[in-house]
Amino acid sequence: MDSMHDLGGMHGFGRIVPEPHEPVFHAPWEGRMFALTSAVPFAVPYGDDQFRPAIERMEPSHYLKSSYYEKWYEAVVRLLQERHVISAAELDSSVPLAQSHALAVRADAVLPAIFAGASQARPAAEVSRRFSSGDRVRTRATMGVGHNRLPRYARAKLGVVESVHGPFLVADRNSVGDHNPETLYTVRFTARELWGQTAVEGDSLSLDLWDSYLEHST
Amino acid sequence: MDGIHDMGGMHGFGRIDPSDDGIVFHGAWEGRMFALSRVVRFNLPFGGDHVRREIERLRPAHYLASGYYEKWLEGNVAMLKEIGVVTEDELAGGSLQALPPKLGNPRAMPALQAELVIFNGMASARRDGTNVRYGTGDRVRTLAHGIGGHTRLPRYARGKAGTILAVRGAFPVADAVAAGRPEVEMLYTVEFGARDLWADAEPGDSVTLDLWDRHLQSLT
Repeated sequence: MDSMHDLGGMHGFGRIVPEPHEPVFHAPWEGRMFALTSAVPFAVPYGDDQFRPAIERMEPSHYLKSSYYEKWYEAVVRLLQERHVISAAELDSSVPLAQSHALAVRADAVLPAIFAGASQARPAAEVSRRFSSGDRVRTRATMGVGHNRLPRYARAKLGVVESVHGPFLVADRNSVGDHNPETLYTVRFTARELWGQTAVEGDSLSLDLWDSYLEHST
Repeated sequence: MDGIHDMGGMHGFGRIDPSDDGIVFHGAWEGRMFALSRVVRFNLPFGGDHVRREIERLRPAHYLASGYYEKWLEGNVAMLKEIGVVTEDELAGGSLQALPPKLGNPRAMPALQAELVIFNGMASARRDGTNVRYGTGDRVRTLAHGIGGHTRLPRYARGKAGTILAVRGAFPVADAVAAGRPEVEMLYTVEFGARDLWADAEPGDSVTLDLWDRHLQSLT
């Protein structure tokens, strides 16, 4: 989905000013939002590939005005509403109208799961591996309307395969419930290939991209 | 400049609702803004390309939250400030504080001319001879990258192959004019297969863009 989140290479957003001594959380509610986002999927299963598209579907001007954890909040609420765990009326009134069927999570199960993470690697899967390190590749020129991990600035660009990571779930398909993995590669692009001659010579940028995002280039 | 205005092909903005077609101005001030934008630059050194450049520089969230004529106001005010006709203080206070510097002919625009400009616009075609590199039917590829400044080659049409549909003649290049260089080049209408621009487009659909010589490379 080429929506507001796909900002790479866009102009007019001003200089990035790094915050000195930036805290992990700017307010207690941010830490709470982080924990909630990690805990809710125990009861209502979702992963990053459902969570990210939920952020990408935010109304664009709302997206631009929202901070990092505000976007997390929006995504979690959207997912819970879409799965009928909470309703708009309940959110407005803060009063639960019906008993949720979601399972409660045991507190002692949450922390180990957060630290364990959820790997998208599927090392045992047998998938095609069309490219090797050093191969010249060109990325796809167009993507569909769904979630994908090939940003607009890297479409139809020439790059070199830097490493081969083996089979991984494909974010595009995983987001809609298709769990067929593909080989994942790290592909390196020169900054000049992406941004033109005004980019600094020698700079490069690497992206992790799946097999179906790439074609051979001679 | 690949700013927030360059929305072609972006998702997530919702369906376009054309149902209010026929309403030219949604408030009296919009009509006034339209007329003002046509006459305000009489004898002042800026044009539509400069106003577009300034609109593109609006902060993205502000851009998205602004109506069409609100953007016109922002673009024109930015140019009037840049050339020194108004100051920030005057805008905030609502009254003239100092006479602006002399800019060309200080004569006011005659009402009749204002009316002509408002209703007919101003032609920007030039007669100067310029290099005609392409003819109708020629295959061309657009530049892969934008430039830092204003450009009329949108992101979704970069590095794409198309066909020359018409040769329009010599026109001032918007990209150059906005950067303060009055350069003239041939303008072409270029047709692109919609599928070449967007994977999910209807087969057989096409998109045409008016592009200048500098936006194009020969594909033959």
